[in-house]
Amino acid sequence: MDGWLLSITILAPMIAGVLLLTLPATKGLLIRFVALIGAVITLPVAIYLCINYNRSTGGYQFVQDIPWVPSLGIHYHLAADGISVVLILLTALLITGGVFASWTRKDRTKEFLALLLLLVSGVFGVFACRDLFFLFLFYEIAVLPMYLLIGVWGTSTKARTKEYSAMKLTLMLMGGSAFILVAILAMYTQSGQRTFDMDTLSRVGFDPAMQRWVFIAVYVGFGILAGIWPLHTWSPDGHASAPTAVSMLHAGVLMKLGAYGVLRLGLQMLPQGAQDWSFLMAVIATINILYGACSAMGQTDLKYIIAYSSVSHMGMVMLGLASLNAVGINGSVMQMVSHGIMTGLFFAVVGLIYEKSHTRIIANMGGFAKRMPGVAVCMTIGGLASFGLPATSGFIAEFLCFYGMWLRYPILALLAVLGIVVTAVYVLRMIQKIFLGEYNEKEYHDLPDARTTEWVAITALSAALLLLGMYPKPIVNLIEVGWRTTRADAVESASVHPNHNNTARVLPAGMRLLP
Amino acid sequence: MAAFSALPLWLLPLAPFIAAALCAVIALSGNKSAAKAAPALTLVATIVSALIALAHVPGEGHIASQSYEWLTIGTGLKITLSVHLDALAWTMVAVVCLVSTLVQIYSTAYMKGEAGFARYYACLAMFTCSMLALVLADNLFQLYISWELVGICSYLLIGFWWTKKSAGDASKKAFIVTRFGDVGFFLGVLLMVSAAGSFQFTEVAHAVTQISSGQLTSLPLLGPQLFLIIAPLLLFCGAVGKSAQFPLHIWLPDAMEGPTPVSALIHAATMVAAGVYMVARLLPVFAASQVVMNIIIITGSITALIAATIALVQTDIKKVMAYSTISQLGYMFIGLGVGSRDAGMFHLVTHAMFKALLFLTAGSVIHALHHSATPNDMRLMGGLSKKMRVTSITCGIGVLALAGLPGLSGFWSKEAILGAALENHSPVAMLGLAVALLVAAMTAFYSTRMWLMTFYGTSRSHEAEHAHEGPASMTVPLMILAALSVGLGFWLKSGGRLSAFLGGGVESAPEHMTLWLTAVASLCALGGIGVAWSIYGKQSLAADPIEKIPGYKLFVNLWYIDDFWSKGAAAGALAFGRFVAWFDRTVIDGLINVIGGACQLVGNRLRKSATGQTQLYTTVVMAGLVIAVLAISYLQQVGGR
Repeated sequence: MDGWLLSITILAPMIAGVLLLTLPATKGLLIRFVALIGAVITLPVAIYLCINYNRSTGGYQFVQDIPWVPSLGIHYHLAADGISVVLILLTALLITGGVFASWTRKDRTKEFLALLLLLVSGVFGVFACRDLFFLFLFYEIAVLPMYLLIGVWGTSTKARTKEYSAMKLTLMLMGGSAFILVAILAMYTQSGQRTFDMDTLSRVGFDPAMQRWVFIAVYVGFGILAGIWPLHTWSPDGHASAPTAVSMLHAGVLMKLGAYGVLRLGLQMLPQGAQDWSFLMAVIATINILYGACSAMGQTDLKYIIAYSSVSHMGMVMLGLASLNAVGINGSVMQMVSHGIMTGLFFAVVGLIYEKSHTRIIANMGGFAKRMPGVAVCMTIGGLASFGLPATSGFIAEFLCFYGMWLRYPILALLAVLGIVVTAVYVLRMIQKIFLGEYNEKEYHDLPDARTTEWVAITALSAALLLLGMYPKPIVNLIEVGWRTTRADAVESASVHPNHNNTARVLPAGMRLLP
Repeated sequence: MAAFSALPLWLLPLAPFIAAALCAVIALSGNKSAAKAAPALTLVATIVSALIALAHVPGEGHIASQSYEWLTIGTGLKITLSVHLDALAWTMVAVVCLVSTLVQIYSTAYMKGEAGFARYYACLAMFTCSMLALVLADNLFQLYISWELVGICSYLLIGFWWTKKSAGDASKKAFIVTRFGDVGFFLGVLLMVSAAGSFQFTEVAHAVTQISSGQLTSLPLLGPQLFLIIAPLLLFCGAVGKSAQFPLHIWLPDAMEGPTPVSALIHAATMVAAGVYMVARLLPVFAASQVVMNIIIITGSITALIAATIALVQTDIKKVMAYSTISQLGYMFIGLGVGSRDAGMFHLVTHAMFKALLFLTAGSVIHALHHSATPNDMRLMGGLSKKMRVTSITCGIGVLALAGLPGLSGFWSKEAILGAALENHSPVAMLGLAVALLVAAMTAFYSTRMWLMTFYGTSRSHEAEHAHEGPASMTVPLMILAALSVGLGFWLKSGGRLSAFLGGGVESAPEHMTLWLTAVASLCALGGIGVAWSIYGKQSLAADPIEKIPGYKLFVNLWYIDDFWSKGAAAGALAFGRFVAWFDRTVIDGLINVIGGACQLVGNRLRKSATGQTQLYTTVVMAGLVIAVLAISYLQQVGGR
């Protein structure tokens, strides 16, 4: 039974999606309920996975291995470690929130929800899959529906049409896929073992020179989806044009696929390559953090602010990965979770505000807290998590990322920390402009607070931010066990600093800047 | 008491947290009648905390201390949260609980009928929780997280009246300016932790000793000499932000936008003293380098002086007190900088009493004048002593204590700082001493001026004529604080009680105060009071004579420091943000579009080659074949050689 659990998370949304297409478009409520069931089923499964993941043995569990094309070494091989189950839980949480957030959608609901469920099924697949062939397949399933979701249901702005945004996003991500495919084929052929199995391949021990260039392909390929600078520009346009639920899922979990790919294919399968390129990764991550935050500060459109904040926060994820040590990786995955929930919350709230006030320009807003106090509280909690306030999940995630990076490249950690001030500036500015100040009765005479289904989405997400922040132990523990028992030794022993216990002794004297 | 010693120690900081959570639920539910229960919840929680603390008074070698594992990653990173109730922490807990309780009682009347009543108490309770967690920390991690949490409580309370734009601006400014300091603090924590391999204060202090004795030399980024300067200075950045020291002091005066009881609790007595407490707690770390100590003295001196000069010319009653707070915090840093933890902490405690008292009396006045459009303006007050007896007398006591009238609390703690500076002998300490004396005189002047303008003479506005005293829930806290402002200083001083307590039960030799210094200090205080009395002690005031002093323009413009930050730094940062946004849209995205456009262009050109003419296709295929054959044969030749 346990073997089928991961398949359930993949198949439930997919089956629900296909089922939706057979339903008549007039049955609005039935359509919503089918979609909701397809999404909600994954939640108890994900919780079950998190609870029943055996932390004392660790490694990959809940294995399901079905030979698919044995002659080519393709297996339908699913298995999850601590990191995967945490990310599966995040995805389940967000798709449930996403369906709730699209509850009141009127136009072509059926197709919209079907594509959304297909997308999320791909996401579950990537997180659960241990076979490169299927991983790539699921990856494409997750990325491609975006084109239609934005192109058909999106909103255009003055500067960019939705078609442009959809096209740009798709083309840039497809470009990334090309890199990924090259990397996968390189590993497949170089290993000489006729297998796509990730466990087998990660034990091959590829030639360092080969690792060096394949790692770059993996980094660029997946990195585009993770929003690495300067290949991030699809993200602001894409997120700004996409409808609420799509932005939630895309910034919330899809961008994590990029970072997850770098972690699984890059760090774990090509540890030496990761070692060689970690400085570059760290530099780009630092640029992401500061550049994204500064850009967010200069925006006037609410969705662009959130989108650039995602660029900045994904930089934090990559910063943690680039540290190549347990602390940083824990921080990185924690930041994936934290940012996933936070940005899901942000886009849900922004969707509500836009739907009701019909503006996204923050200068036109003000005093909204008077009419939407609940929304204001949730947005503020999201904002606090965004600049890493203690007692929200953002803090522990950022702290671990900074600390991990500090152990590796202190100077870059030092620069990246400046991001927390800039983030505070744009977040507080945004909250003030939207919610505080005088309320303009004339222009916005009737702004309702969130309604039932919307309440479910935003309160659940903000509660998750607070709970994770105050008691991160269970989740961090899962991540830690997952990392420690899956090739952590390979990555960390390839490290220059084999032991992160005591930095004082770990950092070589040559790293000193000043006498 | 025994019943409370049986309670778990973690309840000490967390009892207010429970109250905060309950109040928050009440606030979110919007239930008006339930909101009335919020003060009771908060008060009970604070009193429970206080009683637990009372049941664990440290002394005679036993200290109540508990730590709880919060997070462990591998073997490298272990984070614990603690309730560490040693003498220093206990002193702070006592101050926090006392002032919190009084402010909570006072607020029941002051905030009565406010729409956000429950929200207000939720924030107050959360603040008490965070502040207790801050002082009960035995490690840098907990210190940092509670440091941030008190900051956000302060943000929420300053912006309590959020429909006012000025309140929103002030709360944002307060948080961002202190966060500047916090970045330094965070980096300092990272440096210290990577040197010590632990967050614990004891380990950090031990590492610093080892570094200064040369036993520990492999440090990240810096050599031992620089490490001992840079790392403590980074920590000090946090104190500069939180305790509103030059040049980051600009947020505190604006923070007066918050409700006045909040100003008393957070922006006078407790949170702003967190920086002083942190330096006192880690004093051995700072004292390892004389450079660091000198910088602390100089920062304290500059702050004390600048803020005092600005306080001279203020006309807003709360602004006088705000600048006075900044100035007195500078005083405390002078005390710490010359190496005396006791003196700094002594002044922290007495200042908490009389400054909380002063703010609460100001609140009482503002409450009485709340019909006025500008209830804070002292120029529209006057003559209130006849209408508000308790307020005027208690405020007078607070003023005299602040001015350092011999015998009152402020006198003893100021004297301790002056004495410590004198004993230090170093030139920088002498500079600090001189500044401290000058500031003492100015303090006496502006505080007396404030009292006279408010309470003395004839009423200068309609509202002031019809002012009346608040209810007992407002006056009783004033009386309690007034009694402490009078007596606490002497009580703590006599027999060296405070230094004995902080020193862990070891009776320290009574400091021999030089007689001439006491005389000079008293003279400064009396002189300041006298001068103020001679100018403002008239029945009617036509124009404020303070406008004629030299430097008035500089003082009233706040030494242009605010302008520097708002017109320079803040505007610059926003402009930079807009530049980056433009750069991203135009240059980076432009490049991406150029690539896209190039592909399209090539596609368009190539499309034209698909003419549908079979002859052309055949020609091209043939040409290709010929080229391929030639190329292959050439390559074979090359390969054959």
